[in-house]
Amino acid sequence: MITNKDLKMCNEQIFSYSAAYQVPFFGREDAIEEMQELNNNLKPAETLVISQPLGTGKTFLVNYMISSGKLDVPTGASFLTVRGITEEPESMEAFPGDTLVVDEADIKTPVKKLVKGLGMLAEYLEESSRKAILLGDYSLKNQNISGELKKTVSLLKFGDMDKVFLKGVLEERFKHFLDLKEFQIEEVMEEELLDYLAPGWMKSVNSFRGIFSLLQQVVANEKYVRYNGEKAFLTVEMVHDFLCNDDNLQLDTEQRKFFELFCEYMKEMYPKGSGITTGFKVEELYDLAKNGGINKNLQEFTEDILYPFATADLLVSTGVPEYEGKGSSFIRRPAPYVPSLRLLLSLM
Amino acid sequence: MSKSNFGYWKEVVGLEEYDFPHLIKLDEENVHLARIAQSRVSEIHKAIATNRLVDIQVQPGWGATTLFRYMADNVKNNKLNLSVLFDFEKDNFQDGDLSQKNFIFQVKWKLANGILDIMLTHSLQECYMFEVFKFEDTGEKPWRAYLREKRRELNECMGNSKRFYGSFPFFADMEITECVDYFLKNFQIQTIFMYLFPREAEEDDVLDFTGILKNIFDGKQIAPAAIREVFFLTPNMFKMMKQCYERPYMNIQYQQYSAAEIYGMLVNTYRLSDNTNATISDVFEQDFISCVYDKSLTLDEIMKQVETEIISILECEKYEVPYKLTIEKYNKKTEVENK
Repeated sequence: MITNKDLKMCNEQIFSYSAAYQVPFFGREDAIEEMQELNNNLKPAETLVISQPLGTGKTFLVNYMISSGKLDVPTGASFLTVRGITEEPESMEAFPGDTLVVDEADIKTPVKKLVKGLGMLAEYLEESSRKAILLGDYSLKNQNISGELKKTVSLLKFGDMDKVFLKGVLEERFKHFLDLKEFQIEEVMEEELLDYLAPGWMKSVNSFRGIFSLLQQVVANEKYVRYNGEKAFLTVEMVHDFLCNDDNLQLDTEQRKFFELFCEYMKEMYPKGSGITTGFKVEELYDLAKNGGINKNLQEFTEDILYPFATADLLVSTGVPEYEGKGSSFIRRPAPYVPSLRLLLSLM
Repeated sequence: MSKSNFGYWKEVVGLEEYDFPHLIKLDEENVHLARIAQSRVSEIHKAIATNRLVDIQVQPGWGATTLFRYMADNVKNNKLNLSVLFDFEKDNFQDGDLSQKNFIFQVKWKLANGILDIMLTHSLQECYMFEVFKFEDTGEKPWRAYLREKRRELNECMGNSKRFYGSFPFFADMEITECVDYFLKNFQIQTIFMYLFPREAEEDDVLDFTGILKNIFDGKQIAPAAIREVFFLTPNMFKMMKQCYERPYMNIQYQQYSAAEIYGMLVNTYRLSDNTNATISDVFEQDFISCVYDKSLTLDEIMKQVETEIISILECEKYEVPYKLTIEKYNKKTEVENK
C-alpha cells in the first residue's frame, strides 16, 4: 500500500517536470525510431526540427536519446539555446560533435532574439556544414521567425499525450521512485481523474508540465494529503477543491464576468470538455462576451481579457504564434483556444 | 486660502519640512523605520524557511519596494545567510541590457562580496575559507589582512568581469549552483536570492530574465537548503514569469495595507520637529485615511486624497486652524456646505 507519507516524500520526484531528477523514460517508440532515421540521414547544414507545445517532453526525449546512445551527440553537453546563440555566437563552434542541439526556440524567448538567433544558426550551419537538432514550440511554424532556416526536416511522430501514455508514464515513475515491482496507477488515483488530466480533445496540446505541476501542488498541500500512514488516493474532487480555492487567480471585474460566462457556457455546451474539437476562435468568444453584457470592442476584448486568460493558464492557445516581421508585435498565444486543465477541473 | 492654512498648520505642529501626509519613501538607510506588522513578516520568514521558491505578490503601488528593502535588511541581519539582491524596479531589468553572461557575473560578484563579509565577522571552516579566496599561508600575511586586501580588489572589480574572474578564480571555475552548494556544505550558509520586479515591464524583458534563471538553475543538482529564491512582484508579473518557468512556488498574496496600517506608517516615520515626545497621532486622526481608503487606488493616490481632504477643512480664517485635525470638524464642515 502506498501511504500519504510515501507520496509526500517522493512528490517532487514522481511529479517532476524539469531536469532536476532522473526520471525513467517511457514510450515514444515511434518518435525515437523516426528521430534516429531522420538524424542519420541529416545532410550538412540541415536541421531536424521538433516543434511541439511547451512542456510536452521534447528536451526530455532528446536527453534520453543522447544518454542511451541513440543520437550521435556527446553525452553531458549542455544544449545551446537560441537566446544564448545571440549573446555568445562562439558557443556554436564550441559545441562538441557534428550535430548541434539547440533548445528554447519558443515563445519564452523574445521574438527579436528568436529571429536573430535562428538566423545566426542558419548562417553558421551553412559555413560549417554541421547539422542541428532544433527544439521549439509552434513559433517554428511561423516563416517570419524560422524562415532563415532553409534546410529542415521535421519530426512528425512525436506522439500525443493520451490517457494510455499518461498512465504508462505515471506507473513507471511510481515504480522507480517507490521501488515497486508491480503497480497500477488506479491504486493511488481515481480513474476519472486520469480522464480529466488527459482528455482526448486536448492530446495535441496537453503538457506533462501542466499536469505534474498541478498534482505536485495538490500533494504538497496538507489539506489534501497529510503526512501520515493512511492510504494515498488522489481524486477529482481534491483537485477541483484545490483549484477553486486557488486565490492566485486575480481577475478584474470584466475578466471575472467573462470567466463566469465562459464557465457557464462550457458547462452547458461542453460538459467535461467533450465535444471540443478545434478550439474557440476569437470571434466566438467575443460574441459570448457581448451577449453577456461585456462592453468592449474586439481589440480591447482580446487584449484585456483573452490574452490575460491565456497568460494565466485559463485558456490554452493552439495556434501558431503570430509575427509579421520587424516592428510588428509578437502574439505569443493566439486563437484558437481550448480551456486549460485548470479551468476544466474547476468547472466540474 | 486653505492651502496656505495647510502650510501654516504644518508650521504650528512641526511638520513644515515634510511633504505630509504623503508617505516617506524609505531607502536602505532608513528602511528600519518601516511599519510592517510582525504577522506579515513572520509569514514571509516562514515561507522562506520552508520553501525553496517564494513569490510575494504585491498589488502595484502598494509598497513592494519598501517591503523588498525591509525584508532584505531583515535577512542580512541573520548572519548565517548570504543575500544576493536585485532591484529591477529602479532600472527596469537594467534597461533591457541584462544578458545571461552579465547576470552571472553580477551574481558571482555579489556572492564573493557577501561571503567575504561573513568571513570577516565569523569563524568558519578554515581550509574551505582559504580555498574560496585562494589563500596560501606563507607566513607573509595573516588571513584577515589578506581578506581585507581581497575586499579592496573586489571593489575595484565591480563592473569588470574579466578582472574579477582573473582575481577570484574560485568564482570563475564554479557555476553559481556549485558555489551555493559549496557554501552550504562547508559553511552551513544558505544563499538567499531576492528579486524586486518592476511594477510594469514588457513581457519580453520578463521572459528574458526568467529564461536566464532557467538556464542557470534548471536541472542542476543543488541541496534544497543551499538556496532560496524570493520574488517580489505584482500578480501580473508573476503570471508572466510562471508561464515561462513553471516551478513549485510558495505563493504569498500580500494583502493590501489597511487604513490603520497606513496610519501606523505615518506615525512611525514622521517626527514633529518641535516636540520629540509627540507623534502624528497627537495632531492628526486616522479617520482621514479611513474616509478615502480604496483598494483600487495606490497608496500614493490614497494619500493625495487625504491631502485634499485636509486642505478642504482648512478653508477658514487663520485663527480658526486647529492644532489637531479631526474628521469631526471635516464632517461638520461638509454638513454645513450641504445645507
